[in-house]
Amino acid sequence: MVILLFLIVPAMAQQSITIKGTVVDSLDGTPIPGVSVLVKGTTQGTQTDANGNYSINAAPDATLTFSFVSYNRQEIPVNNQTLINVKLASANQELEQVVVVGYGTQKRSQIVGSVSSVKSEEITKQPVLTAAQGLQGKATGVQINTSGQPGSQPQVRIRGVGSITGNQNPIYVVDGVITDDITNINNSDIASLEVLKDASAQAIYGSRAGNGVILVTTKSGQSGKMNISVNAYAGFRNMTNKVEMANATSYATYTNEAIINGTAEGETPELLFDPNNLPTQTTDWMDEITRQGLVHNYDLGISGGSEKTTYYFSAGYFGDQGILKGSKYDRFNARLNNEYKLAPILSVGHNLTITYSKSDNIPGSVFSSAYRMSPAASVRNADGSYGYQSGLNVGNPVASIDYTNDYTNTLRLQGNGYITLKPIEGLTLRSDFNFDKTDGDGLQYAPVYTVFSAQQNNRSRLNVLDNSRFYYIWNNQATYSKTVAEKHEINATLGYSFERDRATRSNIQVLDVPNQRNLWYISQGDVSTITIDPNNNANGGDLVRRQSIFGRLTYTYNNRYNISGSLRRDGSSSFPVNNKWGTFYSIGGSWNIGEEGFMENQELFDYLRLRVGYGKVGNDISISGNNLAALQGVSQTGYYPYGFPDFDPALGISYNQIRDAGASWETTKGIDAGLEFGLIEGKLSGSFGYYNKLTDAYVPVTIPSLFGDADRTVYSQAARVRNSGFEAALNWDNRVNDDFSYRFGANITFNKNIVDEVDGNLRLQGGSLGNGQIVTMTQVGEPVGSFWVYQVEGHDEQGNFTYLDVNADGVIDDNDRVFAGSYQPKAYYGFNAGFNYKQWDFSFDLYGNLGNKIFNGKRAVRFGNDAVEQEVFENRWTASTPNATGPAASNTIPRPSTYYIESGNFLRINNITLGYTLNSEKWAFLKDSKLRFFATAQNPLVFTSYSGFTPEIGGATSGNISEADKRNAGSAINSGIELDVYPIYSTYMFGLNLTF
Amino acid sequence: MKQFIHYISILTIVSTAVAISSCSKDWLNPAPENQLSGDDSTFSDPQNAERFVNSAYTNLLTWDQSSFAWIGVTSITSDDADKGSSPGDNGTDKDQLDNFTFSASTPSFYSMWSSNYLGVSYCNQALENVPQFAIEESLKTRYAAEVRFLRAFYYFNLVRMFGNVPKVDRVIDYENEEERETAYTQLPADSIYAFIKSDLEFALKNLPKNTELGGEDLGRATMGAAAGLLAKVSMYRKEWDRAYSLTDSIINGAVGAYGLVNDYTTIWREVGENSSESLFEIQSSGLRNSSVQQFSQVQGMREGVFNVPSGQVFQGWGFNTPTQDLYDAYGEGDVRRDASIISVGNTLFDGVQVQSAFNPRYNYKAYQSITQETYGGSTDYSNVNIRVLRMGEIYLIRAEAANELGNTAVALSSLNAIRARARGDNANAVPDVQTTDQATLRQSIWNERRLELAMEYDRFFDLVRTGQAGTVLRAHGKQFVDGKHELFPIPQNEIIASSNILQQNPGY
Repeated sequence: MVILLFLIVPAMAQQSITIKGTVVDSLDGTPIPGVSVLVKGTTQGTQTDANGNYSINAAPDATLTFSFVSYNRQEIPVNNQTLINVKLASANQELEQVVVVGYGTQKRSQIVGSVSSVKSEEITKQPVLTAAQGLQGKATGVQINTSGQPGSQPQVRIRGVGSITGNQNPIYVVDGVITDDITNINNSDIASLEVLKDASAQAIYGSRAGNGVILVTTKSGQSGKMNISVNAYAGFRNMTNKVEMANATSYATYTNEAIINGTAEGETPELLFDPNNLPTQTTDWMDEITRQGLVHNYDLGISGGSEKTTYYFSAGYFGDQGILKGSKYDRFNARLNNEYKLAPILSVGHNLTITYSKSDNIPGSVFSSAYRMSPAASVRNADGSYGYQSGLNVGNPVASIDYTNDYTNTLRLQGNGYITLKPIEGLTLRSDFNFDKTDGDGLQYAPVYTVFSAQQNNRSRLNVLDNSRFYYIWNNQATYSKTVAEKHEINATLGYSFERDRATRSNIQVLDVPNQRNLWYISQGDVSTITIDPNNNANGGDLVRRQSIFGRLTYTYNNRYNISGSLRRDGSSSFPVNNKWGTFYSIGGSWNIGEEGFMENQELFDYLRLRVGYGKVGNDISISGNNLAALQGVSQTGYYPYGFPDFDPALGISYNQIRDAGASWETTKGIDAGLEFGLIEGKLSGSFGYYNKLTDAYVPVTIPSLFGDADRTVYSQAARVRNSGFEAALNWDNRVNDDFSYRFGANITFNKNIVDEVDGNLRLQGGSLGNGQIVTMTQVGEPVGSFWVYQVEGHDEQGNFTYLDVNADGVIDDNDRVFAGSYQPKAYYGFNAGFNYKQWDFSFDLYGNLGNKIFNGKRAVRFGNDAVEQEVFENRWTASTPNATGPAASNTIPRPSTYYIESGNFLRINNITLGYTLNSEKWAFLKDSKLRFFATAQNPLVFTSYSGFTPEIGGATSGNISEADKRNAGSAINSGIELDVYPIYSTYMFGLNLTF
Repeated sequence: MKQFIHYISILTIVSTAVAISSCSKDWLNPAPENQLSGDDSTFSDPQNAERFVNSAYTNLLTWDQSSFAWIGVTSITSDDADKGSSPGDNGTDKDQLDNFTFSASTPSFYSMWSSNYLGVSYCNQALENVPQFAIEESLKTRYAAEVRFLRAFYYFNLVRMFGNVPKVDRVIDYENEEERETAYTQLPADSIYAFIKSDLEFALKNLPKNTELGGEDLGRATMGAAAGLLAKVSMYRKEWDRAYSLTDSIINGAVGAYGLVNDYTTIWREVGENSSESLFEIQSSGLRNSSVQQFSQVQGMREGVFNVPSGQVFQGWGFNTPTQDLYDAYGEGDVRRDASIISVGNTLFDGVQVQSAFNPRYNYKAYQSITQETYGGSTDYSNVNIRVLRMGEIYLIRAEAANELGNTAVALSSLNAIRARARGDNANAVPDVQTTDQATLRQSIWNERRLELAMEYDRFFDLVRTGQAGTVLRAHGKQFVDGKHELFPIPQNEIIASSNILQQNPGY
């Protein structure tokens, strides 16, 4: 943090020498007048003059101290020097940092809201596809749920979940483009990442900010010499956790027992396996479908510029062969960020990136098949045909992979062009046009095959998919800054924007296409069989338009007192005609206590700052896709084949979606307060924060079928969800000497999620297991999506569970269910540490969750004769083991009970990196350059008591659930249920960074 | 350069001004994408009138309405079919349906209740919206008649399954609390039947005969369909005169051209679709956009080994397997047995010989031939139409009505017409029934219904209707409780969603 520069001039030893020099600010190099210069241990001293110059007499072996209010004290040994120039670092340099805050920047000291900044190095050192994943454990209030699927983004939750339905991810603002998908951004291109966490920081994004905002700023060139950087890494991936399955013999035993237990008394059970000849050959299906994955990334960046132009160019490749056989993801991208200064008052520029990604998809359901598939079945029979398990409906997962041909290609062009005009001092006018164009196509081909009756395709099938999207937002804004009478600082921003988002999709199918890659065209099939995907969403489009006017005003007095407010008015086409507009606002203040006079004489605090804010933000994305605006929308209900095949099937239309005419913005109001400090010459820094926010959330209210709503769901603002919490972050950063520095950091967020209020007697059930059972209930006084299950009491004579009869009415029904926690963690935390010693650097970080629960759905859902986990097998009740903890073997759908609830606590080692930088003095070719080699282990270990594949679980997306449920997959009322398995993996890799 | 900058500055300011002034109201009010909107051209396009009607038909194709749940509730519950499939594979809740261990949370009932009410809603929407189109009055009347036929069909399902159900006879405004309350009001079965009959009387009066329909309308409700359904409803209500006269008029050709086809084995084949045997069928094309979802798949043969490559045989999950009891109920030489039941060892009409399979028997009436019939390519969809009403049943309704009315001669001739067909080429098989004793004849007719309509989703309701359910099903090993299991439970989810206003059926 503190940089000292010495200018060494040979000097002769004398009794007393005269030392001269200049003291400047370390940030901008401006001279500092009035700095007191003292000879240590004496009263002898002087002050710098108006130009920062000083002159003092001292012994050649004396030590000088330089001190000035709000700057860090410096002690410098004279060592016979006669010229000592000093750069003093502002004590609250932290506070002087310029932070991107949306539609502009602010000094950290002026920010009244809660903003976490994460350095780009923190992200680029991890082998992750998106920067969002790299945020895990780095910032308070930011919870990341890792996804194992190649090419996919993690789930991000900022300060708990407020929205109940649909998409609860934050928005990303990439150089002005608002998007929910940053898989196209090369992490090396990111200059800074800011997370806006509370309403007062978010309000400038008003309507879009309800779930939080992550600002991504990409790199730009600097005037000066050309900089070239090259980064490369390559490594392999392995599944982190495996679930031990019962072997073939145990499986057959269990399956037979389940059949016996399911056979009525007096009848002869029809066993699936001969008890005297149980199978002994075990197939480990997880092993059969997985492999060691391979990940590699290469990128090149070139930047520089002259006084008139600056440029930043980069190109990169990211390749990820996942652990699932046959899956593959490749991404190529290039970026050009240039700025042209046409005149002192006028500049134009652009940030452009083009990304091409290509993936070979294998459906994630193969993991579920591998989990459910009988270990007694073989991958292939002796004659080469695929094996299957008689009596089990699960297809051979290896055959599924072999018969899958599913490719997608996506071309995405994203960026902006802008013009900046500074007509008078302090005033900046800016107009920027930001766009995001995506073109994707897909090809899916299913050949003719037969494994057995439940896994066959009798006519070949080709699906051709096409989707495109064009998004733009045009911002126009004016920013004015002025300092009056040196003490009054005013910053004002005023702007408006138009935003349009249009997407189209199609999915066409034809049969009887030959199994040759070059013939996979619609015209090669039997054209009389051409159909479109009957799912209404697969062929169609969306259009959303928005319009906003926004402003922000910040006033700072004497660098101490700061007030900031923002106001935004938003219109969205997503809402019914009279409810389109919403007003969002924030107001907040901060106090730089460290600047006060009474703090002048203390040396403990480098800076100390208190801030508090209140605001209201909104959200129109959590309900997107639900067409709230179309109050009178007419739905297509499908086709009916009158006179088929002589006549084409005829379309049906009707009204089958009830809309809430009062629907409008989902709003979140909240208060936020924080204390930020730096101590001990910048070694210790930290912050404490408190927040409390209330979201007026949309709820999918289930209505009786009598009203003719096809999904029996009306989206209505019917619940109020409160998230309140406390955050703390502490960092220790010590530079012991030029050879050695080390740091520790820890952060923790305690969040309390609770439903404050619901309309009427709403009982919001969720968490469908796809077998008729639901496992969550959202109710006043409980967290969103609380598990709502039967309490296991013991076993009956048959070894089935008995349940607690809560209301003691002799019947076990819904009234006897109990709340058993939720997936919302009570706390989540991160820890990181590292050191640099000479050429070596080492770092590691951890991430963990506390206090949440997981419903082990995959155990609770068995469709009959499925494979069982070894633990389930061992702990099953039998007549000879009546003290077992688990139930007797059974194929009946079990009641969702406390038996399936497990602790969701985990601690994960996120990243360990060891690096070595070559000594550029030793190696001639490294002159003026830097070469570093590193080795990284990403996600090598997870400590958890959870028995499944991963304690980080997205939403339930079982193939058996309804469309409405699928739409809400990942929503808080369905979260924390491990139904579809998608294991996470560990990555071990090597790489290098070269800059010259 | 200076000038250039000047221009750019002016351009910026001008474009800014243009942008501000262009914030017209339309910006935030685009027409919904890919969706007709009720307030625009929807009602000016006369084609849309028919489409509103079509939605009442498309609902017949859904998984909830006509597939697994329907098969489970109407067939697996009966003595004609077992759950089937593999012993551990319960098809979500089919073991409960088979054994009468179900409850109000059993998912199949939720499917049945909600899909039939969704169908009712589509009918009501069509009734309300069709009049707004500028189309011929006669067409409007025909559409209304079609829709009221379908509404009666949906209500006939509901009243037989659930008894006291709410009567929703118009589009309900959910936002209006009063309307909501009326929608929750359960009416006694008698009132629901009265409602069904009024719909069917209207349909009967206004629908065209099957001979008057163009090919593009094949599959729509006809006068014959209305007469047939009204006859069946009358039989359930023991209104024997009406049942008799309606069936008689159908058989005599008064409501269209109908007759028993000669060969029973062709009825459920593609060649038998929409034949003179048929009064109403649910049409299924085999294509994914216009087929009954997975109807044939859930009942298809499981893990079969054939004389041809198994890729040439439509297979499935093996549920709803015909019982040994049903198999044994057929007399020697009855062609209906092997036309209704696929037994392992049999050769099917398309030459497929079933050498082995997981279960001993499967439902032939859900079978689709890949080689001899139009096949859509996916076992998720078959082109098998579901025969809802056909002449075999019309003859038996006439027989039963005639017997109840004391017209033994017609009763016997109607019954024996069916038996004659079942005889096929074998003159000694399936002898004519001779008895003139009313009670014996009644039982013979009931037995004949079982054999003739085997695996046609009628048996459970018929057992309840004839009061035999308890005796027959308990003898079959099912835990049928008299006074309770005649009706199914009203789905718990619906009771909850109604704020507990809906009342559960007795015993649940």
